[in-house]
Amino acid sequence: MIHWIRGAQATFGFELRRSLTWNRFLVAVGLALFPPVMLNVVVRTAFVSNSVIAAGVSEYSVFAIIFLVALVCVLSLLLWATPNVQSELEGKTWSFIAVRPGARIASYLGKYFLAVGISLAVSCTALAGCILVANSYQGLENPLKTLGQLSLIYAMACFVYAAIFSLLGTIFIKRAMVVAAGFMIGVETFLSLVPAVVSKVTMSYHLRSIGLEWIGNFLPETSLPEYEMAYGEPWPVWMHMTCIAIMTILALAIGMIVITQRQYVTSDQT
Amino acid sequence: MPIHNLGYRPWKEKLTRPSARWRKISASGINLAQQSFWVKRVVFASWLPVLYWGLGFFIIGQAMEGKIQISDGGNRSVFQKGVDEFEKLVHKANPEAIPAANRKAAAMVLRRQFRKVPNVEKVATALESGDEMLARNRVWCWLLMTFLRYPQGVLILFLIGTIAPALIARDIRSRAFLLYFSRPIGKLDYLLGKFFIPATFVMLVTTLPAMVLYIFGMLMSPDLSVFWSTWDVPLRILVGSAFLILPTVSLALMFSSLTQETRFASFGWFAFFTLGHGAWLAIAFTNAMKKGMLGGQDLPAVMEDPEVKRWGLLSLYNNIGEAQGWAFGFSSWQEVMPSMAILLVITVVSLAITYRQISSPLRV
Amino acid sequence: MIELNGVSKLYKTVIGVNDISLSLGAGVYGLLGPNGSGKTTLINLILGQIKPTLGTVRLFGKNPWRRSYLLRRVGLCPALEFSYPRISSLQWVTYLVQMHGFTQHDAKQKAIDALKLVRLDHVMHQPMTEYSLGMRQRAKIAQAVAHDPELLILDEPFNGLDPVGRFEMTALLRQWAAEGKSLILASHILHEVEAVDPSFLLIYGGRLMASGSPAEMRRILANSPNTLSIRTDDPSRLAAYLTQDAAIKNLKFIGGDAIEIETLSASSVLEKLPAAAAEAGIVIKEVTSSDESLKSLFSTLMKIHRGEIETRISV
Repeated sequence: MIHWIRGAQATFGFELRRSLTWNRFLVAVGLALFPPVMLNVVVRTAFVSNSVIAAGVSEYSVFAIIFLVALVCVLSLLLWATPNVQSELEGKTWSFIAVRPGARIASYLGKYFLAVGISLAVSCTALAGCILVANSYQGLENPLKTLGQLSLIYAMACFVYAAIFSLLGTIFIKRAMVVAAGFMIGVETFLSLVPAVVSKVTMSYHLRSIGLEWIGNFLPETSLPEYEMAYGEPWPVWMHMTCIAIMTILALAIGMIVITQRQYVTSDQT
Repeated sequence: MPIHNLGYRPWKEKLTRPSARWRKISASGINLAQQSFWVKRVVFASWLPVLYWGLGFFIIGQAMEGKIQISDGGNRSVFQKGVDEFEKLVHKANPEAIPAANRKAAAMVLRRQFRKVPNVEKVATALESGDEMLARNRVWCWLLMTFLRYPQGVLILFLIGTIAPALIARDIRSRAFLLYFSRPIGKLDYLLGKFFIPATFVMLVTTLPAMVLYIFGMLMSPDLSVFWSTWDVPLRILVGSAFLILPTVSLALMFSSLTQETRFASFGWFAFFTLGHGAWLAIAFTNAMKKGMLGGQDLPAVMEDPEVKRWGLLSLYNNIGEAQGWAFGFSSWQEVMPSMAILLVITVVSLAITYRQISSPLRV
Repeated sequence: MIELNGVSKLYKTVIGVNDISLSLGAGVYGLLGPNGSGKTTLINLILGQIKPTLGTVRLFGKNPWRRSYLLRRVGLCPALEFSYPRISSLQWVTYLVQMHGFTQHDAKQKAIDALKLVRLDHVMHQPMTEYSLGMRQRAKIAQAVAHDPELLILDEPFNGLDPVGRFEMTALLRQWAAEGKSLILASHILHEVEAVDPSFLLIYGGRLMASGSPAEMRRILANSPNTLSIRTDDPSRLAAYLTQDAAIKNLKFIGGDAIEIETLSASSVLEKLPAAAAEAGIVIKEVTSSDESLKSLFSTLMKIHRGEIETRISV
């Protein structure tokens, strides 16, 4: 176990060093700035007319904040978490890692934590920017509390989705990013809105429910019955968090089993 | 005894045309891509919507000929009075008026069931008019436009995301450039060859099934005179497909040419689509919520809001949809000019960057 | 140290290795075979990177599959050409040593020592993308030896090395062997492997064709079909003398002072030359062989296995 931890630390440091380039920094900054910039556009489009700010900015902008930051969070995880094995096979460096004791798991965990770290940094930066923008138009009731709550929700999202994407990366070596994108759209978006038991298997249902409990109904009163049914009966927050934690551990565990069981062949086709 | 020269002899026969070179690059790339487990399955899945749309062609075609009768599908109280009485009159007095009744009912069904789909009002209006030729043309164009926009427009996101990222990136990583450019293959040949690899697969799941649907519609029609009201539809399909293929494939190739690692090319592709469309969705939904419009009935009104429409230019998917709306005759040139301009800029800039990348000197 | 028992590996319908049984104690081994013969597959089986389809593999007495702790005692230098942009060899080797469980400080020191050993210490802070092919090869060797393994497995280590580099590499490997550590050197070039004086394992088409000491390999080679060029003062008389030997398939005169002999057994011809010189008074100036090589060796082995040449085959 200590071996895995040391190896994971080494992988985290090595991959972080490898990633510290101007190109990747600009990509991260671009992703982090996208939500605040777009939120500014959203607010100006919906609420500002002839320099007059209409009421309701704080009420309606929470949804936009959550949606925009979710986009960049998922994109960041797609970039960092899914190609954990593919990047090594493609770079023909898998053989060097795999012949180290416990290195498959250590490398897997190290890359997982790096994906979580970078995505969380991007998400939190984006959230902070969005809260600043929203607050500048119309003072939020408790901006720091909102920021803290949303940051915690996105932290949970980073941990669980990074685990799921990492698992997908060990199974679908060549098309991991495409499969993960399909998973997010098909399962975490559409399936999570189905008003049935199946939605409770998805992580976005639990994250949405925690948001509902902490922030309140960030979707204003609507006549659409689907939105009401999508939330279902309310569970306590700790139950949702437990589901998320279980899924994170399960995905990581299965990923570790897969990566130690599979016979990855380095060839020119990868 | 003459001694034969068995050493190197230059080829004296006719060489193939230069166009054979890029076609060969495409053919070998297509052959490689179609060996993929996932590509085969995505292409197969991409043909499934043809069944649903084919059913639409069949029902509407038969209804317009009076062979079947369209009911309102529920909520009869909404137009029970009007339609029932109308039907009593026409069925008894004039059996040939059944198609007209069907068209009226079909228009109502379209308006209610597909209220969120763009241009449905134009189709419903054409159906209600007395002009059968116009009605058939508009309905067919609308069906094909929605086919290209909704199922296929989303599926090509994954299809191109599976095929395109590795096309140039892998050649850069493996120095396969040297194999290409040490032969009489120009950069344009290389670019064309690579372009037609994902383009062929996109045509396989958009242009070809759309043409199949058109032919199916013709076959389900009472006689060949239907051709005179729908002769323009195949051309519109080609133009609509071109609007789908050109910017998307150019963009994907550009991302592939900018990196040696395919994961960054894939990321760029998904990020471009997701961020643009996501930004527009955030603006549209916030506007809709603010105006209390999320009951659904007024969603098209939100989409038509000038402010929201303006920001639709951020989304490549929306821009392609607008261009296809013009291709199928539902939008005027003035309405779609901004979208066309954006698509043109994306295509030209992407191809220019790709050309520049493959022209750069290589480290051996 | 290594034991394989009836091991076969199939990649769908492609046979990687075919029914290989061998038992290797500590020592130096040369794994010889042409490209695509199954050397890398065999190495991956030994290291537990892939599972055998049939048979069993033992490394240090245990099945290496899912026992990665055994790899602490092994160093591997794969044949693959890799790329890590913006990373120096010191950073890379340090990282890989850390993956063995060493602390960062210890790993860095070991990495520096290994890079000094392969003479890359003067460039160890430069990105590896700026290295030549030979320097990258030496960096690969460094990461294989840095953690001081008992068994070193090198797959095509001489690829990309210039003659000086090859000489230095050979010296390094000889030193390694002299320290009592084990070495498996996989290559398709006979004389590179010969230089470290190993026991040979000859693999072809996924099958282990033969194994033995250098002398035994030489004997096979000597008895395999060969083309000899002999420069002499009296080619006609030498030709007449030698054609009495049934082992000669073909003979031709080259220029005015040499003959070229195609023989089924070079050794039988070579044995007659001293007699020719002594009895017939023919001066032999030079004897060369044009294809004393792996190709000839494998060709002979294949013929033996097909029964075209009669010899004793040990089972």
